[in-house]
Amino acid sequence: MTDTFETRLAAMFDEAPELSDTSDFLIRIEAKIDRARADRRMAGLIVAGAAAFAAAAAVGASDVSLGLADVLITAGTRVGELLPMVGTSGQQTMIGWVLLGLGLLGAGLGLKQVMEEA
Amino acid sequence: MTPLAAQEELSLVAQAAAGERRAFGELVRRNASSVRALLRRMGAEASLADDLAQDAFLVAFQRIGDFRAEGSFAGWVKRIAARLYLRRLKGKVRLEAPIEAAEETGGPDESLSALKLDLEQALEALSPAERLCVSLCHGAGLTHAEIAEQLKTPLGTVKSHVKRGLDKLRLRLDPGPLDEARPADGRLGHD
Repeated sequence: MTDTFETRLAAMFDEAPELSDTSDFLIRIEAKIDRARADRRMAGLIVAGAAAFAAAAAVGASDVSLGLADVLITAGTRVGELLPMVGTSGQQTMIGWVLLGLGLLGAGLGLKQVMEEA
Repeated sequence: MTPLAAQEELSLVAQAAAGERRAFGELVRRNASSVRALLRRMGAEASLADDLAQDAFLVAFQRIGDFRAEGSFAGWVKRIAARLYLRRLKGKVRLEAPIEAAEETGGPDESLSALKLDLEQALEALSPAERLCVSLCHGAGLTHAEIAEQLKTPLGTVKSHVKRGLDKLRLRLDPGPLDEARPADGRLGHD
């Protein structure tokens, strides 16, 4: 048998006193949307930067053609574009920083290799 | 062109999914009150409820393409808000299994039963755990299993809290059986 009280209770939960400050509420949401977009853009830029560093490292370390660097930069930029589709902006930024860290490490190793060969 | 305020929800959702922020703003205007009220009913303080309600709409805006219109937009945002609140509570709340011997403070007090209390007042009679579980289940539409998973609590504990909370609410909001049990008097009959 359907519990009509539970049905009425759900309806009671749907009822709510009207907000007196809807416009302020809306402004705050808009600000959060803008901030989240800026965070994601930043995460994308960091990933692209990381890819560029990694490309520089690869070129320096193995003396391969600049074509590889192009490929890596393109891949990094693409990852940067796709990143906003997964996780929260905080997680994306964290991923971006990790990738940048790896890129810097690669660049350092590449530079070391170049200096040792010189 | 039809003003936004006069447009149907699905039309606004479609426009918002296409990036039309004014349409999304109209959806917020229509549903902000109920989302915020739900968070307060779950036990969130006013400022936290506002903050989480805004976050819920932010997530809704970012994932509006996932909205399948199988239920209302308000219901969808409420579930997002409830999950955000549960995430916030993680590690800060532990739902203990209700102790059967500890009977609730407010039994079927006739003075209460005789009144039609509003939901807020009735919820205040529940323990925090009961209030949270009932609001999640009957306000946000989460299943018992979802609540148990999010709160890392045994399913049976969640079910107990929901049942006990419902029983208390029924006593306060739906005193029908007591009325039926009373002998009819002049006030209930015809003038």
